[in-house]
Amino acid sequence: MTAFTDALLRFVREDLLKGRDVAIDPDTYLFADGVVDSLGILTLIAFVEQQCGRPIPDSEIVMEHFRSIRAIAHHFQRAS
Amino acid sequence: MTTDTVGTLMRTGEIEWSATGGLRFHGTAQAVFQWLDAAFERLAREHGAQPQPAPEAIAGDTLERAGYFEAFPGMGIPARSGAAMWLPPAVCYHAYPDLAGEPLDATRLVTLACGCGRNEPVAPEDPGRLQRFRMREIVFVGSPAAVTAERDAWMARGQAFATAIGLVSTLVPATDVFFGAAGRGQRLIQQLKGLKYELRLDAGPAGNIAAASFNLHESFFARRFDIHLSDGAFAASGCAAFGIERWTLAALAQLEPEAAAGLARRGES
Repeated sequence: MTAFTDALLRFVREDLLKGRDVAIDPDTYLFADGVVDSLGILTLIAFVEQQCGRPIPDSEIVMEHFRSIRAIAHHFQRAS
Repeated sequence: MTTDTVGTLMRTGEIEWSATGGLRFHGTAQAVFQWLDAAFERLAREHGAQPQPAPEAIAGDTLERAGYFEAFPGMGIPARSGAAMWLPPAVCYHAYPDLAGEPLDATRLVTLACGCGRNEPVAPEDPGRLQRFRMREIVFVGSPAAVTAERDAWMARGQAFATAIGLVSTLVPATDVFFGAAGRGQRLIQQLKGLKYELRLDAGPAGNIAAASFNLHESFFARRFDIHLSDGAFAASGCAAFGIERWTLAALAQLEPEAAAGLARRGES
């Protein structure tokens, strides 16, 4: 697991889910009921922007890049 | 067509604005409108949707429960002054209260149509944006997978119908938030999950307009109206919505006069 993947996993577990009992691993689909909601997506985007050091345009916010923690890490690590 | 048929019909009075921000059609335009209205009902019935009555007014309590006033402040139009009744902003709001109670053991499809009202800004030069309009919807409720499959099938049917009557259309993801709290977060979730698609048609002076939309609500309305599956989980819902005035404008704008007259003859018969 890369440092980016690890940081994302920690962020989703501790900041987005805030201790809720939802099992998350790098391949968990993030948009099932009760994981990432409309507030959570904004927080997640802000975290990814901070990690990769650039703003993320809305056009880049597609399921291919945000489906899971692994997909986010794969796309934004490479594209930053 | 290269000529501005809709603009011409507006100048000759065959299409005119109503005092309440809707359109009145006459002659061929009215017959095309009638044919399209009946054709969408036929399409819905052919694919298993049960017709449900839809009154021209809806209780404010129902819209409140659906989160409409919170999501779209200022957009509601009272049906009568002093009464707690409103013009339906979309016809599908009539469907959810009736689906509550009995757990669903199979996907339920209903179809409804009525005059709707939204407090949209209107401009004389843009007949595509109306405060009063007629909408036909097919509402589907069931498991998430079944509802998504039904929505996708209606996207294909909607586009095939446009092609069959000679209209050029494009199917695109929509960017406007259509339920729940408006804002960037909801819009991005909608974009990510592909919750809303629009079928867009060229309609002369009305421009390239969304004449149909194909929507997934996930469990948003089921949670508000207590609609459950037989295993106790909240149901998913979705809908296909057709704006009859917009289809009429597009048909008049895109079709050769004899083709539009053909639809009109079928509407009159």
